[in-house]
Amino acid sequence: MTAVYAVAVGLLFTIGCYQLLGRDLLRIAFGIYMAFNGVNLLIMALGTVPTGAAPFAQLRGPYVDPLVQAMVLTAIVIGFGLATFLLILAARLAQARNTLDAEAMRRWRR
Amino acid sequence: MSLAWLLITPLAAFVAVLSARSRPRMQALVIMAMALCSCILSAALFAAGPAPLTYAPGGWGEPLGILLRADPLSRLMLLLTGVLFSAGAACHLGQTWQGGAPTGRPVYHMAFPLLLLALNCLFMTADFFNFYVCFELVAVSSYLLVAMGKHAPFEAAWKYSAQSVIGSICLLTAICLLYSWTGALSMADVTARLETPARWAAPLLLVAFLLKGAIFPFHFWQPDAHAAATTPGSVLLAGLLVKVGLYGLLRFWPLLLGASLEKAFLVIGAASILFGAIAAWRQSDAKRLLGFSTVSQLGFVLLGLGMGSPGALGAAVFFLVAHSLAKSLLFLATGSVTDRVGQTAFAELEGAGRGMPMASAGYLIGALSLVGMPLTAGFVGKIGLLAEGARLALWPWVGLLALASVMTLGYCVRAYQCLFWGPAHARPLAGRANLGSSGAIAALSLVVLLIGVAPAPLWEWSLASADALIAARLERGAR
Repeated sequence: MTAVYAVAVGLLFTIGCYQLLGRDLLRIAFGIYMAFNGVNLLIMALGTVPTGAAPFAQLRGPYVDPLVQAMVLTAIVIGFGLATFLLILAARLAQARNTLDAEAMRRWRR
Repeated sequence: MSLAWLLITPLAAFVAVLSARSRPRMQALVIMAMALCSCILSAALFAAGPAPLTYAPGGWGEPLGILLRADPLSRLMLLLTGVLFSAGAACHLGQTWQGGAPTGRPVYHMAFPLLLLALNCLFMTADFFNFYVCFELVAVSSYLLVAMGKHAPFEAAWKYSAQSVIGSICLLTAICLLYSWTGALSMADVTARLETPARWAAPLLLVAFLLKGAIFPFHFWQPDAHAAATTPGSVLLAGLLVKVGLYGLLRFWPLLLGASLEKAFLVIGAASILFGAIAAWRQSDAKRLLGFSTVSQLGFVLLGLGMGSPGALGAAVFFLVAHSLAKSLLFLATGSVTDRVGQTAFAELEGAGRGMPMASAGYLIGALSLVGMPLTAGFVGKIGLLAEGARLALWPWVGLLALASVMTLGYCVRAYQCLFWGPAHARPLAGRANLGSSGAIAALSLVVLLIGVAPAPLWEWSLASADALIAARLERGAR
């Protein structure tokens, strides 16, 4: 299970960082969101026991850390909110400037 | 007094601002009242002495609850927040009254109570995950201040928010790593249980806080954001938002690496000082010049962290407060001139500050404090850093400090000369400085001079904050 998490986190980070390096504002926003979800998955991975038992302390046997679940829930909400904000900002930029090219932003500066 | 009042006040103001949606003057009045309340509450907290005060929301104490705690550093930052927020709110009130604020966008007014709530919570929290949540809340409410400005704000807001999200990804990862190593989230527990320094979390934390604090390699968003924001927005950005990054560095400092990281702090600080000063010198825009000057000045705080002795840390904290006050003053004075013209480039601003004695005096006092003239607030922080540098025989850094002060004097005089001494402005200028701004400038000038004349109380508090941080560092790995 840990290996699956590790690969998934790595993939999300890699793809996210690759998207970040592009010029398209939408791709940058989605890249950031993917990297953010990579972190969320990393948090999940911290609280999982290898056998994959229930997130509930009343049962016998191994259970996952409930605090991690609370943390990841908060982080998901924050990440989603931030991604939405970035997308709206990109949309407003596109409306005002008629382009989504990050290189073009450089030219607008005085 | 319960710490919760510092959170209840902005929450109540937020509801009031929300319900007074279509009446901007009412909203601005509520924001002003909220800022003054917060200022009085934090002053009362300050007057109660440096003994730490904790508050357990809902009665849930350690280890289950998420505590609020006010130690010396927190109280210092809370009082600074109260004072600077009042200044920003006064300027906002004046602008709104004159019809100069972007009143067509109701969300702009809502950003203020949200920002105060987030800042107060951030400076009081005793829990790392809560610290992260507040850090985000501060960031989101400050995006609004940048995005609502008049001059091409969306580019600056995009730059600021995209980099800021990357910083918070780093911070979140670092905090989760700390949790996985120690099984705790409260600051005291993590510090006590962490046996070795937080090696792998250190670079992540550095990136997160240097981005937020606009220190040299990560400063790129900051001059744009300052130039794009409204005047109250840039006062709060320069005075408080950037300091959030440095507060984070101070808070996490006990967990970070030892000697090797101190060297890194010294080098990054020196690079930031030099780069910021040279870039500020070359600017042709009044607000961007101040932005780069912030990059330069905050390098001094890093030098203090790098020296790592109690005296140097205390001087760094003192310097942080002094810089906040001086830079807010400069932004208020510059803002009252730029708002009059509607431009921020020096070429358009020449002589535009003539006939504005309050802005001129405020700019002068702020600039002198920034340079570190005796009898202003900036002097004690700088001389403290110089003295510690000399004591530790860090001569290249002592030389750099002196050089940077001369360069600061250079670019401040250049800007001052252009704004207030230039030949009379070509076009007839509409409007006068708004009363709120002038009041805020007068009050902040007074505070800067007062601290300069009687620095002892603030110095004691700075030293107490430094001692608490060093005690936390010594406690590391105790359990």
